[in-house]
Amino acid sequence: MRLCVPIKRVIDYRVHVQLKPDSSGVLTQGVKHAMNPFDEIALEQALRLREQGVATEVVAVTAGDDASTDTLRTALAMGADTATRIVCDESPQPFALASLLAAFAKRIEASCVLMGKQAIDDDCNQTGQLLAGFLGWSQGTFASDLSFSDDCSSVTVTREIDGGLETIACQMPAVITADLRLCEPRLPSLPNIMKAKSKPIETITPDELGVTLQNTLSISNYRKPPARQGGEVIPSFDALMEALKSKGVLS
Amino acid sequence: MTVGVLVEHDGSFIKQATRRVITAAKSISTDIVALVAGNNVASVADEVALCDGVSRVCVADHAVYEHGLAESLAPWLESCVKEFGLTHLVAPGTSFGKNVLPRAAALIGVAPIESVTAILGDKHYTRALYAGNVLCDVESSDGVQCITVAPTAFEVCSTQADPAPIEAHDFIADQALSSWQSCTQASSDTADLATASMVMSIGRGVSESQIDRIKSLAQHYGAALGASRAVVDAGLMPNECQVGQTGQSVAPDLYVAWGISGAIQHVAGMKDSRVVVSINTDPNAPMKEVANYTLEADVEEVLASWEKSTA
Repeated sequence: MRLCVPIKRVIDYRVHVQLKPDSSGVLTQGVKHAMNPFDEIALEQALRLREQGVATEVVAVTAGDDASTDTLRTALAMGADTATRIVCDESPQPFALASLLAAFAKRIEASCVLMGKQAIDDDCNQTGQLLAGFLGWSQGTFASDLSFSDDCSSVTVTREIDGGLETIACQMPAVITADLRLCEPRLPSLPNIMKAKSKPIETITPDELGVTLQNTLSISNYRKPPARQGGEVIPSFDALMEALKSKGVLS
Repeated sequence: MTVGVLVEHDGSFIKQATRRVITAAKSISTDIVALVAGNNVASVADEVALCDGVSRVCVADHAVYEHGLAESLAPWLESCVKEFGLTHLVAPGTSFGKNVLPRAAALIGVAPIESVTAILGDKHYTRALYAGNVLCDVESSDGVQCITVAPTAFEVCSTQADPAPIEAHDFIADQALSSWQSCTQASSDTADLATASMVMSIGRGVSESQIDRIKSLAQHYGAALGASRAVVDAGLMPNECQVGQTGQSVAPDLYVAWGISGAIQHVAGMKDSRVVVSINTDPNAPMKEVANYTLEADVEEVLASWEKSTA
């Protein structure tokens, strides 16, 4: 079974994002980037499936400019078999990205796409669902546990939903999106990081995939939300009770 | 313009998030079609027909729709868009809506817009990114607008005296791509996190033995229990309690953060709460910047006083 793992290069989750002065976006120059944490989890899960003999091959793919090559190197250092960059000037919006990934998954004859449930930059949580829709595949979103049937004709997915945990069985091929607790990603070892530096990174253009990129969403006026005012440090429990009662939030 | 609202329900009653989506839909158009899919959901249809602003209710009642699987609902929603000439398809920004709506958008062939917090025009919205640290405006040129609505950003709709007419829809899409197996429900001994007016939320500063005591306190007030990611990852609290960027967003009247440092990913899920209390020994905890009242004290000490005051 060939697994396709789409990954995204995002601003590191520890960075406090700053806005461009003209409100056209956030500052990315000189800012630390990393693999989207949810994609890291998906990749780890894919690698474990290969190690368990369930999958035979793990193909990492990203869409973006030359800088996103870094993220693919990390994927190779973690253990992905191959890495491909779909050449784009910038990271495509979810609809365009899902169109590209659908064409790519077909091209490499993937049986399953495992990816993060959302990117921590745009917080869209859409690409996996769009991809499953485009491909007409089943979808197991927000997965916290997976188990493939012996013949890999289906996969049982435990999903983190608002009310608890839901378990569904998805017919293969499937798109699965990883939630936080699916697994803990490994740190690549230094020798593997060094080896990954010399591994080839394939490139492919949207044209070669037969996809014409179009963005129907225009995004503007990036701004900070109105700040919540920090309040007072209250001296004692009794004073807190009094304050809450006077606000009418505690009887 | 005609707005279709995907109704989230539990088989018997509509979820509060649905009432908030209807409020959002009302700001787009006065022609609102409530779309109900499920198995034996006549009571759900009756309930949504009384939501203020709903003009029609369309019900697809069939076993295929019982568990709200995206593979079944997406083709049905696509057919509803055609049949009713919908200009907008709006769903709650819950795990249900986020699962279904983008798949429907793929079938319709439009770019969905996730968790809008304000509707600026009929194709113009505000949404948050970077864990709520940045807002942006999104303008769409798509013919059908597919959006999910951040549940905490809109009020609950009121009821109308005359119920909207209900019509049955017989389109059945059974692709049998996936099947439902089981669900472990949240324990019902505390209130529902999404709708409670008071939330007691547990962070790393709380010890395992204190969790049950905070739970008892929550029960005393009819409050819900929340948690930070660290506590859920440690297996001390179930996943459905997680508040934050990737968990639930809540906006209660009172949010009590017990030993929660206040990482931006957590704050993203509770910053719309009316009054926030932080109980933390660390005077530098970022939660202080968000809390109306900070009590720089040990959780044990405050918990003991609080228990005494409710005894």
